[in-house]
Amino acid sequence: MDEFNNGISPVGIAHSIMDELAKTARVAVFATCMVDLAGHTVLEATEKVLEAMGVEVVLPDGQSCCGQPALNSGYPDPAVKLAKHWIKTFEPYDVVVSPAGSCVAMVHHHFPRILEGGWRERATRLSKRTFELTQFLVARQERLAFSLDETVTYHDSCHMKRFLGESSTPREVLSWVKGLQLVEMEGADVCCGFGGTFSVKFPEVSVEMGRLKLDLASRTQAGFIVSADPGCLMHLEGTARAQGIGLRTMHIAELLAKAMQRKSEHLHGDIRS
Amino acid sequence: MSPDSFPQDQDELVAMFIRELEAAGGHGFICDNQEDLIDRVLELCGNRSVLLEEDPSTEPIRFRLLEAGVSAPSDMWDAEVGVAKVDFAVAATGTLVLMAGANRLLGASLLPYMFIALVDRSCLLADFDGLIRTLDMRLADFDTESAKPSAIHLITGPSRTGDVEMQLTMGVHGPPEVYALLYE
Amino acid sequence: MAKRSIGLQGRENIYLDRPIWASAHEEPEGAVLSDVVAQAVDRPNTRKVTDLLMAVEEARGGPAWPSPMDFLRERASVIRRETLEDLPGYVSQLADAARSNGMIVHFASTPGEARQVITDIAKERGVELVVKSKSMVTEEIGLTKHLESMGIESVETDLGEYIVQLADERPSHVMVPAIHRSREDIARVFSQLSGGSVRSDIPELVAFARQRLRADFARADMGISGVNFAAADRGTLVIVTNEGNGRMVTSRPRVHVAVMTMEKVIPRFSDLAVLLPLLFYAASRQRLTAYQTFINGPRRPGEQEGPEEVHLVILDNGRSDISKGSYKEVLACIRCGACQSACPVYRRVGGGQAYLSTYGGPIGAVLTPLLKERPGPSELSFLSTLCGACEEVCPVKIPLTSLLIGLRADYEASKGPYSASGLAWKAWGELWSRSYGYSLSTTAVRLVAPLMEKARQLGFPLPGAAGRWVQGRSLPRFTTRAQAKHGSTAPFDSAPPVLGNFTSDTQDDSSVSREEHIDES
Ligand code: SF4
Repeated sequence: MDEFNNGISPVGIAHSIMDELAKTARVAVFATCMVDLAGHTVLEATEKVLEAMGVEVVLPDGQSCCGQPALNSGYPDPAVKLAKHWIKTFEPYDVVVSPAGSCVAMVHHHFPRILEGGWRERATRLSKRTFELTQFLVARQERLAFSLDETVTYHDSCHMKRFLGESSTPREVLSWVKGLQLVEMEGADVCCGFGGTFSVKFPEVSVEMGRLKLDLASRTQAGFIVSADPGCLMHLEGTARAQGIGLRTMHIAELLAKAMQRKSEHLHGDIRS
Repeated sequence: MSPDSFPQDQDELVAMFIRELEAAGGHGFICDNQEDLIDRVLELCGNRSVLLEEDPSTEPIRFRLLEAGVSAPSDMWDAEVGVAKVDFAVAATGTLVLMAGANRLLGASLLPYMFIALVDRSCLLADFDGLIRTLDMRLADFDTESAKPSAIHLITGPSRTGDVEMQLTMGVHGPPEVYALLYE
Repeated sequence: MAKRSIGLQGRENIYLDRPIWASAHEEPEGAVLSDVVAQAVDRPNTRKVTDLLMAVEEARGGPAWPSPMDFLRERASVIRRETLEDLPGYVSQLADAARSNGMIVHFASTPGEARQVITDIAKERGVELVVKSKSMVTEEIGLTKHLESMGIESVETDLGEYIVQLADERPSHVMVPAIHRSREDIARVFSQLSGGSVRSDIPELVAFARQRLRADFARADMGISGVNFAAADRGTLVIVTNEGNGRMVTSRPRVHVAVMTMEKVIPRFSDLAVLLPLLFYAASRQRLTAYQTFINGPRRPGEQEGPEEVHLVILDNGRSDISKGSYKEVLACIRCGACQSACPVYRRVGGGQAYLSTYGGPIGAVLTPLLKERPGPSELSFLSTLCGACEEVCPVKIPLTSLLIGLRADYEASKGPYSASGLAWKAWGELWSRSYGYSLSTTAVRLVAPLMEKARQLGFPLPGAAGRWVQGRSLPRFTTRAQAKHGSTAPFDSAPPVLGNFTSDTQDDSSVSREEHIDES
């Protein structure tokens, strides 16, 4: 009986396969709509880190969105349309990497659920070659020299942790950075309150959940809350700024790009004073 | 919880039962013989009113209680201590099991402030699994409804609640104090 | 003069401080979910509930399934789904076995029928006073209110339920009904009730309830309980409590009425070896609750105690249909409440009352819209971030997020094919699945966004989603890649490129927080 295994069953690709795939010379980067619209520095950082590892980065034309916003808003049909479009766009590539854990989880967890027949098979096959950025970096088994004097705390995005089943690779990647201190907050995997359309359907709870998260993060004395999901970060950054909370957010790719850029640079500037 | 990880030895089962009952907030004592058992009951009862199940095996206790001038309450809601035999006890969880039946007085384990359970060591089962299996067999064996006990009660430690601010607090409707006296 | 409850005596003196939408008596019909949720966030005890539940979760060590609990969880998941394969079959087997055990079995397809059955039993037997132990199904059918309208007082005997009954509220948690009330609140309620002064000391509060309710246990004519599990093969009902009220209610009054929804049936008595320990672990990390009561029927000849009659009322309310459809797994639920405690939204709205339903939290958001006579709003499925914390802790592995996503689709589909949002999403799908369409719309966003930002700075309210986003949050900047690359829009000169464009470039953000989020601290 496996009909009830459609609960949380992170797809989890066998590590050996991941390691083998990660030796690739070229990856297609899935920027995601959110990064494309409002987070170019994340994309640039992603490219920079990958290129520094000797990987050629391709940004396939015509890429848009994984379809998750529609699915979670109660519109599976447009989501299916986008899923198929996504598959067509990325299928030609051996390996797909994205700096958005939630979108990768969509590909792994929801594509096979919402697609049927041949499309489902294609989705399953392609999802096995689709990595979240830190998963790829770890599987690549190549270590760049990173260095940054900073204290950060890490926010597990819900979909990356629970539906992709990944919470170790971002922490491992952070451990490569010399001088960087990762201080775990209480409830690192508690939802930040973004939740896509939830954030505008129930803005009061959403913002309060964000404040709670920022509060827990602030208690670690970290200067930055780091995550691998642009959605959470946009919500947290927006909340922090509007609420006058000093803590700042940073995408893990940006942190890495920063850490390879100059040695031992102090990130704060005067922003926290 | 595989059964073979449990001690087969009776003494070890007894020790485990007491340990688990205490962890659940109750108390367990080993009585060396009938006299010891009766003394313990009397000691725990003090001069409070006692609800005692009628059974040939509890007659000596009733006799001694009377002797000591301990009264039976006219209304069982007024009893301060309840004394009853159990049908089974579970070592791994510290659970006491009482089945309804003729002459049984289940209220003794529920209404008073203190419940004293008389546990024959031979009633000890290793674990919860075993208890469910045993009860299931029993229930299957009664072939008429009238023979089936109307109710079976599993009791693990004192009555408690977490309803106020999720703080565990002892003694709501059932007895706040539970003692098990083990005898042979 | 009818017998009156001692436990409830003086309740007219209690000052009802709950919002009307939390009332157990008023219909929350007019209430709009999003407004209620917004109010719930600001209720005085909400933040305490959040912190309490987070601390409890932390103490439990998170959603762990150590051995042998992982094994029990697997077994239970199979058992529960096996039951759902033939729910009507198991229910009829249960009814037969219960009857041959001497119980009187009633089927009710709607809440109204269930209420009728129970009030008929009460009237025919001259019942004046009822004691109840905690049961969600009696909340679902609105039983207490109905009995009261017939002049029969019914008193809740679970401590938490007793508190919410006195305060005229719906329970806010499956396992901890008064979780939203602090000990000070409870002391106030008890003081007003008794006209004396009850201290906010937990043992004292507990002693107060014990003393007040004992008289009702002793005098009640009828006990009404829920059922945690009902074994089809042996016709045995299982009722679990920690307080002992389940034992009282089922053994002291002369009539016992057990009410269950049909999915409480389990195929075999022996399944209890799996389900009971799992329920206790999931609910409270206890190995066993203080009491498990197995009921086989009324008092037997020769027995000195127990009710003269035991009735079993089995409610459907749409469940046989659910068991045939794609949401059937929701019926695997064993009501442990773990998904509620783990849900960050549930926590942050201070418990289940804001869900406007008998059932709050993730399980409520799934179950409520599916029931035939819905005990709450159908758009509840949207009150979730889909974070999946509920699934992680669910002892029977119900795919709650997937079910929520499905229900959202049903909700939107019920608006018909030409709803505004439906058309918008359809257009979105068409545009974004084409290269030119996607760049067209993103360009449009980039053009519109700065205008919106300007409008906001000038004090105009923003329309729709953007307007709701800026309630407490800054807008992100929407830029093209080229702009971002050249740093032409860097928000702060001296600032590092922190997430670049997700940051707002407005300098007046603090005014937003002042106007719209008056600091609570
Ligand atoms: S859905 Fe699962 S976690 Fe929630 S109450 Fe039911 S069994 Fe418990």
